Amino acid sequence: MADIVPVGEKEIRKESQEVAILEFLGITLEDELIGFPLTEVLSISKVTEIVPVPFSPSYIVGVINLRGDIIPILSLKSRLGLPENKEYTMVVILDTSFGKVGILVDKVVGVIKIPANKLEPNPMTGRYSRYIRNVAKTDQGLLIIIDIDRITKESSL
Amino acid sequence: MIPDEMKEIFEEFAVEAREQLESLENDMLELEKDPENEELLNRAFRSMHTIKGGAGFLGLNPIVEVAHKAEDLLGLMRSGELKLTPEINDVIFRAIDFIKGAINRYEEGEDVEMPEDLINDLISAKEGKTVSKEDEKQKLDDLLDKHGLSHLKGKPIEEILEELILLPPDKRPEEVIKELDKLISVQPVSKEEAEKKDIEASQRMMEEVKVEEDKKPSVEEEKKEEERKIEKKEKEEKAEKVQEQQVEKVLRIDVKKIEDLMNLVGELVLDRNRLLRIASNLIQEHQSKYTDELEAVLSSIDRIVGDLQIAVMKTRMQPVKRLFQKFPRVVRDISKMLGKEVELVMEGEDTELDKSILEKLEEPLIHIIRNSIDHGIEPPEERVRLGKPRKGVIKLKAYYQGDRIFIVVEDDGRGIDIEKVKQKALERGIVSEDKLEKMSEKELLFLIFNPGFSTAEKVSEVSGRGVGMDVVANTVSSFRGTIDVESQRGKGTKITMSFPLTIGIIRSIMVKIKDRIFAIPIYSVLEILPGESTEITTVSGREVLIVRDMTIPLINLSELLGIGDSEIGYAIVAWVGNQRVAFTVEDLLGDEEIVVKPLGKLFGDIEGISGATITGDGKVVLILDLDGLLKREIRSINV
Repeated sequence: MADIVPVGEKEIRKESQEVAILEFLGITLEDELIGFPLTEVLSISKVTEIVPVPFSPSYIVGVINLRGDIIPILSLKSRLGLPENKEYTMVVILDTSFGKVGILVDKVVGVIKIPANKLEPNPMTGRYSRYIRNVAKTDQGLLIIIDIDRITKESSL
Repeated sequence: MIPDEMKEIFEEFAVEAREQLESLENDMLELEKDPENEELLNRAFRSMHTIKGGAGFLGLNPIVEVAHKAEDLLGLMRSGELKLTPEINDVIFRAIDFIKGAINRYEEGEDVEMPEDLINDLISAKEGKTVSKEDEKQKLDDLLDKHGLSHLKGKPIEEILEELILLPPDKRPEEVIKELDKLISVQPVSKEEAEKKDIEASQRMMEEVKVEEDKKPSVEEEKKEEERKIEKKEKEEKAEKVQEQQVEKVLRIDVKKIEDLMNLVGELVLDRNRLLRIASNLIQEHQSKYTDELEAVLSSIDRIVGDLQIAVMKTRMQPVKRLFQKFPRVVRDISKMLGKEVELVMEGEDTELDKSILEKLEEPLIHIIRNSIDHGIEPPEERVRLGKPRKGVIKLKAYYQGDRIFIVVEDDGRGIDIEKVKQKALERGIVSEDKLEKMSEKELLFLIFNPGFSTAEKVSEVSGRGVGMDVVANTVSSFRGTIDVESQRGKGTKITMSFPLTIGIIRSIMVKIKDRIFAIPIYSVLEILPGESTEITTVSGREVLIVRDMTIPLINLSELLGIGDSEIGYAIVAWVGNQRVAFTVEDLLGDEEIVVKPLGKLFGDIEGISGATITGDGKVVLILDLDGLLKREIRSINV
């Protein structure tokens, strides 16, 4: 079986042996560069009117109407132990195990490609480090890759 | 485990088997009252047989084995060799429960073990009556095997004889007939009349067989037999056909598709409302033959959308029969366990209710009924002493009134002992003594719905679960339902629940609090009072509203919702739980039909907020749950 290789297969093999390239959506929160796996990103939109929901934790800012769906909006700064100086301008809608969730971000940087072997384990310890999946060095600085499911799991009531 | 390629067939089997089991369960309950009802016995036998067949095709051996043994029992009853006793029925019910459970487990992708105990009990239930024949029967079965007649195994003797008669004389196996002869002679004579008759019949047939061995079989006799058989078969086939036709009328649709449809219709309703508003403004400004035409088209669209809305709602509606039909069995089991005699009377089983409510109502209803049997209905002797009929009656009723459906559980037992309720409430620290003194009888009765009230109840075999009446009340209110309890000492207790007919769209009052808009479902609103004309005083530090001669607790919504101070424009008086409560709002923006959307998994259930809706202009508006808000307010006072 293994000996029979159709034409063209060889090249494909060669490529697949190379390290997979992972894509992340880079955003900033204060001075940090943060990445969400691109496969989990559904859309990016401007901050529209957010309706606060009483009796819910402070990091759930409220809900918005996204094409007829009600979507909760999270503010991650306090969760990640960041100061709150800069203003949120955009919402990144992610697909999480708790459904669609919007994350407020200061700025959207763009798609950042990283070879899988360049991902490093989280070097930090401490209160906020459990939300961090990996880090990676990029031209724009250190990229922090967030484990969004862990945040939503802890945020759920 | 069900292999993937069989999944679809299994699903069909599961649906059919569940239907068969439901009807079987009801038939067995009926049979307990009327053990010799042939029609019921036949139907029960056929149900079990169908299940066995389906399970056999899928290779679900534990189900096959249990169904087979239960079918044997039913077969013996059908032939009159065995009489249905409550004990035998218990075993059959266990078999039914086992099959139900097994189907669920296969569905979950689990494996099911052979229930040896149950199978043994099924066998001994049979042996209990036919012990003396068992050995002979085994021999007979071996002989039948030998002569290639194994399909007759386990069949009643006269049926085997019937089959033998139909064989050509030279092919009739001598040995089998001899064995049958023996079997008939060992039959115990001290049996019921019916059985005796059967033995006589089979002996007569036996003789016929012997006679026929010598002479040519009487053609007429044979013909008669054949005709009878054909007739019987036709009858059966007819019955099956009717069933088939009924099945074909029902189409199974993924709930998700219906939900999508509901959402679309919801949006359509909202846009129609907007369109109507715009059009009426337009028509006021310009009058022409086009606006007349527009008005005509709009009124037609209005009607069609309304009808469409109702039609889609109806796809989610199911008769409460689906729920009610489980209760004869529940009542039987619980009353047997508690040594009570109870008759369940059901009314209005065709009343339809939204599927999601229906599904969630089973446990609360079981709990209420269990309470009725356990605490309500007196033991038979006591009832006789009190001059009541020996058998207690529990009524389970459903009916429509206005745009709500009512479900009532009523018993003729001893009623709720208010003194006991008081005592228990004091013991548990639910209310203080002086508060208790001030409470009306109704308020005292409602203490049974307090979370602390039934915690001491152990998870018993009767309830199976440790739910209290507070869980019942919570389930009911989570569907914007209401619950009421009436009780008369010595006469009985009546628990009335009401639910909205539909759950997707509700009429709400849109209110403004500070700069925010909220929706308040209209169903519980009693009246709206303008702020300037209301009289507000404080009673022990709490604000109350004086309306006519009533003192109504007042909840400041902007404070409770944490929005800050706002002026009191209006007070909305609503019926919450078991009392009137007034809520302050700044302004009213009119009433609207709104589509309820969940806030999503991240929020879970928020007490006080039941969901959100999107208005015609795309704004998100939260829907207030007055029941939950009241609970929050009460907690904030107690802290």
